[in-house]
Amino acid sequence: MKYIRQIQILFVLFLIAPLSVMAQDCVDYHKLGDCMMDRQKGYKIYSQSKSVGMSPVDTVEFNVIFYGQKDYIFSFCTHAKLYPVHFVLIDPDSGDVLYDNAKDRYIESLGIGFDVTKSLTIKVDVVARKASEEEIEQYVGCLGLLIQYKNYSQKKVNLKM
Amino acid sequence: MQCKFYKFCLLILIIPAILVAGCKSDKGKRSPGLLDDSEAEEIVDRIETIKQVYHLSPSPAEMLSVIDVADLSFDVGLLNPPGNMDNYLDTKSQTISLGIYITDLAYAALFGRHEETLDYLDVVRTMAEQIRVTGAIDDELMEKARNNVEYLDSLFNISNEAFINMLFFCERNNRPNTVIMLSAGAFIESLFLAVNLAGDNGHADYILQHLADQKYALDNLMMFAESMKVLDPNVAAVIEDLKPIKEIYDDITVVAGTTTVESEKAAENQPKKLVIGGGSKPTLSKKEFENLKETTVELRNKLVNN
Repeated sequence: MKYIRQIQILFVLFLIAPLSVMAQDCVDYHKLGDCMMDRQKGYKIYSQSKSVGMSPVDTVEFNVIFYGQKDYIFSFCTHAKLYPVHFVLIDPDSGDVLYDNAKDRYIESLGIGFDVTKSLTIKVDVVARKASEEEIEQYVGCLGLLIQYKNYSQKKVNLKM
Repeated sequence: MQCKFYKFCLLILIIPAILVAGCKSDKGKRSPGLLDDSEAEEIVDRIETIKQVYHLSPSPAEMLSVIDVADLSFDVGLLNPPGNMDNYLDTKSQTISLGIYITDLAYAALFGRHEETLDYLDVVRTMAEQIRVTGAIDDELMEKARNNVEYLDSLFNISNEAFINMLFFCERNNRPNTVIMLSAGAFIESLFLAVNLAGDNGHADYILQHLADQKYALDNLMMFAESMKVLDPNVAAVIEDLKPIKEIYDDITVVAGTTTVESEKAAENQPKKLVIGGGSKPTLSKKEFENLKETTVELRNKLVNN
């Protein structure tokens, strides 16, 4: 009888464990996922780094502010089934597309130097090449955007008004 | 025995059902604060495609670190004294004051002021606990600060880490309204410090441009706040508080320009690199600066004096 009770408890725990993992949030995924493989010495993690839960039918837009005279590195990471990540950089003032990684074989990391302070819209979706039709409809995973930055080694433009 | 077996089977069926339902509803529960207005017009499309929009703002430490403080002197008189902490009794004033104190912490860290950094770290920890944002500054972080008082960069990182921990906590606990009030306090205090640093020194023009650039941060904060105001009257009150400053920024001249994108050779072991320059540029005249300074000082003192 005692053994049956122990088996029951173990069985329930066995069921709960993976589901709890599924239910975990994505808040700091960019600090845990593949993104961290791109950590560069001398760069600080930008507070506007962000992780969200998304499915292959979702689109996410991040409106981020980048201070001038700094080098940034953008790194995107997600779950294996959701790769590759597709991202587009848009100038919010003009609506112009400044960069589309689809034209660059969906690279996951990009360095950008900002001469002046600028607001940018980063539009992201996942191509999910390894996901089945059913998974594309139902699969929800985390997407992380890790942004690292460091100051320009020397000022490149005159910032005075 | 049979009854126990049925209970066991029922348990096995119910627990996964609750957990799976929790996962699904999480997607539906996405905070309306994260969605923009255009979504309302796409209700039909929404069934197939969900668009999430996040308006992000820099941390107080990042906002202040843009200012080169090398030739500037630390002015403790500008900061909100730790002793004021007990004057804030309601949620709104406590959360906004926490944002103000985090910025003061960043300011002290930026100038490498060890004693003040530790004092403000302590204040921030106490106030964070008062509004139940727990664990943002734990004993480990305090110890790290005590052991790294000689390293400027470490103090900066610690103040930044404390802020980011608070954002993570609020996000995990579905408290976007707290993020807005916290960010509003931090924004006002960093603006207050910057307008006071832009005195008669060699950095005045540089700080003026930095202040003009804060238009972007305020725009993002206001867009986020506007989407949340129906859920919390405190957020609506914060929007009202910030309105006079928003109006000044809405009226400043934005010089139009074309954004340029150029490729640059990446350093070894680094990803492909682009350089973005040009584009529209907000500018602040001396008169607009004076107006901004007066409005900022008035609002900041109102918030600090509660």
